[in-house]
Order: sequence, then C-alpha cells, then structure tokens
Amino acid sequence: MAQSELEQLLSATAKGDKAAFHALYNATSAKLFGVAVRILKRSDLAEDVIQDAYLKIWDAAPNFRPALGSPISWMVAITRNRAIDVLRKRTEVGVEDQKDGGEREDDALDPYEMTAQNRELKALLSCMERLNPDQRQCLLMAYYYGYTHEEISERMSTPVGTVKSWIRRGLARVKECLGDG
Amino acid sequence: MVRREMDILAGEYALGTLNADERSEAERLKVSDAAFARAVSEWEERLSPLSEAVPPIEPPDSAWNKIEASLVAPSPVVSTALTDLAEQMVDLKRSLSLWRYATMGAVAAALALAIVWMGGLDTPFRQAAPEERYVAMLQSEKGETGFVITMNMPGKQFAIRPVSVQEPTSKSYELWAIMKDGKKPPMTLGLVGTGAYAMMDAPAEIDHKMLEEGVQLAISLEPKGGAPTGKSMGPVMFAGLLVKQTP
Repeated sequence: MAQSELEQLLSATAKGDKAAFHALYNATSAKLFGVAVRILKRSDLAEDVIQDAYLKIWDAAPNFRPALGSPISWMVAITRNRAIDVLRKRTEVGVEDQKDGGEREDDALDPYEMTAQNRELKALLSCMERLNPDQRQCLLMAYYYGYTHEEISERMSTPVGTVKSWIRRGLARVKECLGDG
Repeated sequence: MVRREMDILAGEYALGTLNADERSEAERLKVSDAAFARAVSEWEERLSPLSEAVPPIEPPDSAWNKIEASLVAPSPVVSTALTDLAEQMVDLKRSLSLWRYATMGAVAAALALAIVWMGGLDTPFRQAAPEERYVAMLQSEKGETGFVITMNMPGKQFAIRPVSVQEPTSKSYELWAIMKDGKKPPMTLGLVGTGAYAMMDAPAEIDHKMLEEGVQLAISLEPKGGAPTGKSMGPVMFAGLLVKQTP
C-alpha cells in the first residue's frame, strides 16, 4: 500500500474510525508480525506484541506527524520497541525457550540479497557497505534480532568494548553518509 | 550529555542493542528530553528501511479479534460536567505555571469537586490541611481523562477515581510513579481497577517524601496481575503530573 494511503488510514484512525483501523491492520500486520517473530522467535509472544503495538497505534494515532516520518517506520518502531522490551524482560528473568522447532536462530537475514530494494533501503545499504564487515554485521544483528552489545559480543567472540565501539562508530558513519550527520 | 553522545545513544536505542537498564534510562530520557525523543524518531526513520528485508508473516486471526475486543471506546461514567472540566485541564499537566494561573477558573471548580469527594469520606483526609493535598489527572494521549488521583501529604494513602475508562481485556492497569530526580526506574504504586473509587496505600518502598509536586504518575497496561518483574514493560495508557492543589 502506498504511503499516502497509509497516512489516510492513520489519520482516520486518529479520529476513532474502527473500519480504517482494521484496513490499516490488514495492510500492515503481516509486516509487523514478521518483525516481531524475527526478534522473539516465538509466534505466541509475537502475537501478544503486535496486539500491544496496535493498541498503542490506535491510542497514539493522533500524535503521528507525517512531516517527521512515514507511517510504516513509525509502526515498525512501535512494534520493535515492544518486542525488544519483552525480549529483555525474558532474558532478565531467565526464561528458557522451549525448543519447539520454531527457532529461527540460523535463518540468517541478508538485506543485500533482496532483489527489490526501494530507494531508501538502497541508500542505507550502500552507506552500510562502506563500513567494515564486522561493524556492518553488528548493526544488522542488533536491528534484526534486538541483541544487546553483550549478546553480540558472545556471538562474534569479540570483547564487549570492541562491539560497542563498532556499533557507535558504525551508527555515526551511517548517519554521516546518509547526509544528515 | 554532549549532543553527539546523546545522538549515538538515541541510535543505539533505535537499533535495539541497549540492555534492559540502558533501555529504561533511554526511555526516561525520551519522556523528559524532547531533543532526545526527536533524535530517537530520526534514527527509527533512518534504520526503518532495513525492516523491508524481514519476510512478512500473516498473524493468526485471533490477533485481530483480541485487538478489536480491547479497543477502548470512550464511555463516560461520570457527569458531563466533570468530564468537561477534566478536558479543560488537558494541557495543564505540561505546565505547572499555567496550572497555577488557571486555578482561578474551571480548575478550581474541578478541585472543589475533588474536595467534595474527600469531604464525604470518613478518612484521615478529612483532617488534613488543604495545602497538603496533591492532585493528578491521568490522561490518555488522546487527552481523555482516565483517572483522577488525590493524595494527602505527609501520608502514603491516596484515592484513585476512574473517570472514563474500561477494564482492559485479560490485562491489568498498573500505576507507577516516576520520581523527579529521574535517577530511579518507575516505582509501582499497585494495580488499579476501573470500577469504583478506591483508597490505596503506597507500597513500603515508597517514602512519602518522594511523592512531591512534579512527580509523574503513569498507568501502564501490564499482564494480568501486574508487571512480573516489578518493572513496567507495558505501554503507558494514561499519565499526568502530581501537583499541589493549592500552590
């Protein structure tokens, strides 16, 4: 769905239009659910997350400002924030995931393999391409899986301080490269 | 924090790599610092194209059914007069000076109402001097008043009045205090019902001195029975500042 259509649905949602909200859900829920499943690796938890995320979207729709970003970025950010909060909470209380075959750990995601990249993704990827491969890998792991510095450090067998500085430098360079640094 | 450091912290938050404590810290900054909140939004927008590489997955039908069932339709349970007065207070929580200025008018009338509620109760509230009374209107992002809270200082008992709010489906509302110094994570004041006016006691960990003018009160949506870790994880549904009834 085009950005302008999503904006219209979101603006009707802001006025309490449930039909528009349902259309917005139909147009975006597979994307948001995919994002949540990727981070939580469990569809039951991801379902709770998108439920909370859409309620937040319903409540916060009047605060959405098209000038500051696209509807889908805004909705993705709400979903990811919620999913990462849940992920952190589970890690903190030491919940062990049951191995139920739904694990997606090895299902690596490489945005560079995508054939249909839109303009924004192309620009971001070409900026990330200028980073060294380790920096890039850290940023992608953090974005797709919500891993902490500590978790990335374990997975890459690299000291946490190094991971932190890779991420910080990587972010700074991406921002600069995109022309708003 | 210098600007550049703050911007990178915003980037790390948006990227999703901060641990639980660092995240709470960033979330607090997001509420208290508009420049930081803007930096976070900019990072979210900047990184968002990456999400296009995530394969979409159709959620089960049950997801929409639960969302639809939880949509809170405004259902005033009090007289229109109070709701109207409450609406006039929408922006006051953002501005204590405006709060003081406006006490001459509608706000004073609403507070008078609050006193009437208190006056009708046979509780220690009755003996307290009016200048010790604190009030918070907790509102949704849409500006609907969900709860009115009154506290007497010193003391740890408070009254909570649901105004226009429905019980969430298979979730609980939990009340939190975000202290003024901003150093501590939000502290829970307990679960709140949506049915009747209730008196509650602040938990032992909360010293009455912590509950002062400018403390932010917020109600979040948590799993049934409250946040299991003692930290708020759910979305904030209502929020408002605690202010002295008489400046």
